[in-house]
Amino acid sequence: MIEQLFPNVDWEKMWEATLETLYMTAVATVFTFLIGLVLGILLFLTGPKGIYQNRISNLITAAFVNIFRSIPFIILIILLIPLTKFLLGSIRGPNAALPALIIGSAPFYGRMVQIALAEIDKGVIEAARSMGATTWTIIRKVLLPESMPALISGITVTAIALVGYTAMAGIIGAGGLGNLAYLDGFQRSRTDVTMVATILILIIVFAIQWIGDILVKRTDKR
Amino acid sequence: MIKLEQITKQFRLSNGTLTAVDAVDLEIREGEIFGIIGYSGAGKSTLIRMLNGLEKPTGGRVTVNGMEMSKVSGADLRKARQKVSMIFQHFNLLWSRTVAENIAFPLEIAGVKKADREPRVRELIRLVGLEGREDAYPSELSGGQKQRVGIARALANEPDVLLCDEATSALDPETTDSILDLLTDINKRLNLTIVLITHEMHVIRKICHRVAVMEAGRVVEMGDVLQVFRSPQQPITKRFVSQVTESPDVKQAIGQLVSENPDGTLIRLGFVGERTGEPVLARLIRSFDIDVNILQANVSQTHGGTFGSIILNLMGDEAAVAQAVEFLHSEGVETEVIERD
Repeated sequence: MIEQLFPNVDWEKMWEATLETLYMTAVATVFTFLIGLVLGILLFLTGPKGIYQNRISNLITAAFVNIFRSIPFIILIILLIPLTKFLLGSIRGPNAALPALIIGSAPFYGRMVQIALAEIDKGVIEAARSMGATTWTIIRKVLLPESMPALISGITVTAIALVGYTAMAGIIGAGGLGNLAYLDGFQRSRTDVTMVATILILIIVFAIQWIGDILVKRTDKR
Repeated sequence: MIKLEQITKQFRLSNGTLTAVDAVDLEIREGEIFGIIGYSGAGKSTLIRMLNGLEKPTGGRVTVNGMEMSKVSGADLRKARQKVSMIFQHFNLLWSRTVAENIAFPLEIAGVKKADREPRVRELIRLVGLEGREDAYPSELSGGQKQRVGIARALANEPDVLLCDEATSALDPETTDSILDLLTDINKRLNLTIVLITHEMHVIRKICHRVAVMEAGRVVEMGDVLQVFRSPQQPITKRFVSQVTESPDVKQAIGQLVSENPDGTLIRLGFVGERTGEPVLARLIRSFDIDVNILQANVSQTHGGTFGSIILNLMGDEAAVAQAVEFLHSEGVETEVIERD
């Protein structure tokens, strides 16, 4: 039955490609989360009315974020080929996609972090200061926990965007479901392969959204 | 305990400078409840924030418990803040933490070990009457309960001074009274110096020992609460005092009586302390050939004692009325003739 519907699908290859997509998405999401947090916190603290107002570092961070957020991903991959080669020694395979995935999405998430932090009640930060908290304590015990639901829903959106990016990275040879759909499906006119790859990507996206929603619900005590 | 010398705070705005606090001198004694009253924009919020270094004065000196708050910074300032804690109008609790965790927060900041934090938190929860709510989140509490958490949190590191920033302004009258009772109780039990700012004279009347009235960045009047209530000097102070002594209905009634009785003389009598119990009025009516119409009478309780005020309309011939007023003066009753418009 399944073989009749999808005569050209090599299930072993399909499974391998799924794992590659999951791997790229997961690793890129973790690094995007960490780098995005640093960028977002920097933007928030050094921005106008921040605890560490500093025009120059704010301008530099904002410029970095804006530039890398604006470059279309497919171009960013090509621009980063030399860096990828230097870091990994190769531009093929799932790892080769990671630098571009992270550099492309961390600034995007950084902006989301900044927005999430700006939503925190200023009074709560003032209260922490009035208790004698250091900036580090405020970051760890006020800013992050108080914005956690927004940080999680932000990384959910970003992780889903990353699934899409991995498909694009697939085109230049990074592997994964995008790569498979393009090479085996499109170029060899095997529509059933493209279909199955698409369904698997959809399942991954829905799963990420589902996990994200649960985590948001669990952390939001408002 | 707390000393402000020539404190000035200016903010630079795009269209010039704003002087929020203008050369304020104040001295607050240990163990007293000191109230600062003013309308919004009077500078009281900025002033109280200079007591824990959340704002730095542009000029002048702030000393709290021997520590010059206007000068210290960094680790010294953070250490000092643990002894000058603050509660807020909107409570400013962390919604992501339970009641117990919120109260533990300042202890974490002070580096108290987990094993020592737990008994202290339990003790504080008992002190503010929140037993059984330890594991609730702020969103599950009423306004009064949230402020109790705020108070418990503020007391965690055994401060010398408690600053109250409009701490009851977001609460209904009944809850306000229960929070004020709690503050009075803490003040007595822990000999804690309390500085509070408010725009409600009711709060001053109920718990403060002394009061300063602020207008446009300056302290325009200051003294014992009873004294200020009995004989307010500045127009703004009179307005605040009338918040608790006169209702708008009475004002309207007086206005109506003034127009209905064009020939009477309206006077306001102020009584203080034991005088409220003496039968001055009865003697006034017996001794003089005048008609006395009582338009309004009330007795108020302040922290320092009782005071009352009566508004009378005296009718009779001019000489008799003048003699009656003279009699009241001689009896030591504060008498003020209300002018007709």
